[in-house]
Amino acid sequence: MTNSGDQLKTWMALRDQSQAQIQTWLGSAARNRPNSAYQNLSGVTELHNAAVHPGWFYFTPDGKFALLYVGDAAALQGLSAAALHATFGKPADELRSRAGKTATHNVYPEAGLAFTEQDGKVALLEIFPTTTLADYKARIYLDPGAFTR
Amino acid sequence: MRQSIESSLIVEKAARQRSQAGVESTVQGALTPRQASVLQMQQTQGNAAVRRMLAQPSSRTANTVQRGFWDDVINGVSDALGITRTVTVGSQRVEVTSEDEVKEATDIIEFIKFSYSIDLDSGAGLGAIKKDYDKVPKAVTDKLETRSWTMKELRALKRALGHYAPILGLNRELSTRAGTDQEVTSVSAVDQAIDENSATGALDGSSTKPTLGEFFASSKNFSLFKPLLSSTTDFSGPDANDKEIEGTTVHEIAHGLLSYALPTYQSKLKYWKDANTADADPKTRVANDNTVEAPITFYGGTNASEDMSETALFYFVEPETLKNGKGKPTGTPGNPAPLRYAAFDEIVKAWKPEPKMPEYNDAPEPESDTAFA
Repeated sequence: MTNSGDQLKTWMALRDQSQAQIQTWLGSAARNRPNSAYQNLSGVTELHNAAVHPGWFYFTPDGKFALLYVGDAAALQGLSAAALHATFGKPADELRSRAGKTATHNVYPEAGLAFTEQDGKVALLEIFPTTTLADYKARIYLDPGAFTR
Repeated sequence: MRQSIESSLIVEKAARQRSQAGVESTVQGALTPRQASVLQMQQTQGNAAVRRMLAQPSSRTANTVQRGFWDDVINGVSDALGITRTVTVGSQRVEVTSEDEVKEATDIIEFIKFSYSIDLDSGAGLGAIKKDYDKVPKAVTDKLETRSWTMKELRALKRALGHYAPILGLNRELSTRAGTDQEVTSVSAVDQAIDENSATGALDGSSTKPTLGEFFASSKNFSLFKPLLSSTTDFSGPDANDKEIEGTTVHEIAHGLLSYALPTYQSKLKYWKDANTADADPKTRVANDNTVEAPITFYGGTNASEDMSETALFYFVEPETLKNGKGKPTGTPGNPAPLRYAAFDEIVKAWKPEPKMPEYNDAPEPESDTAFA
């Protein structure tokens, strides 16, 4: 297992934490926004403290883990799209990404992972409870619309 | 009868022009673009810069209009009747309605090549698309086609590139971007684009939201697509399409030439959490904090790179709209965007190096025949 694999494993393990645990971990300086949204997920509470973790945590109103989003370029530098493909295999679907017209959003719903690949790099990463492709597309994914220029 | 007299006059004129110009379409009695560039360079930057410029190989012969005697006759008749025809200038097809437009097209293409080191090369666009859309079936990419340039497009292209003149071609070596390879080296006229890089990717020319322009970093190319020639997405008035072509060109160039400035630009705007996610409602793109300035267009809310390119578009083509907005309140795309104006203005002003005072002993000896302006 590589260092980047270890990092991803650590991030994925955060799914098992409760909102209270994450909140305590991030500290009192953390941003806490109830009734927030991430892409198509709405009505979620957003927690973030860049000093502790680069990701943005989202919890359902009843305190269940909904999603961890990482888009910080420095934090993603250790991950490679090729390594993720090698680990998780063929994605269940390749969707359009808001990162760019030729970027690909790879979805692994049964692993609870999705990431955007752009020029061989990981542009953004989402970790969520394992689900089906249909649920991911209906509840989490938001089509960025056509890139017209 | 009158038509036959006009036709013989056209034949005489064509023969005279061929004899005088040796088939080349330079403007008689006026400076060629290369001559104009040399003169401008001498006036503004002195003899040393001119020497460097003249050392560059000329590709003038490549841009000569290829045609025969009877082509001139037929063209003359077409021009007299005001019919649009397609001529080949270098490797590019251009739609023209007169000999003056042939000369103008030739001059623009040469000027862009000599002054900005950018080739008009539509074939390069096809190659760039095929390279970047590698998941699209070959049966789709095989349908990609180049198209003819139009005169209004060439004029808009020249205006758009002019905005970036300080960091293009020879001027770049005198700017703060010196020493870094130019990120854009060719521009193409292509019929239509592909909507996405996937196995279901398709040509998007007939879609409701077709691609107008696209930058291909891996090929240092940007392409302009046919739907742009009738688009008026961002502007109104009689010159809306002219502005749209110029603006879309400015937008695409910004993706290339200004990618270096994106992290700084983004860091000055609280709207962005990171390069791909806004601190905003994902659907309306309205900022979560309504005191935070949103992009100048909804499209600019796609990601920080699109934000900067949209800012570039309005900064150069309609700066008052960027400063004053499109009637939307702060926090909503289309709001007044003075922070974006200031952030972009800083990028542009930084192209010019800080004047350096020479050390006493390093002061250059003036050349006796140097700049006179």
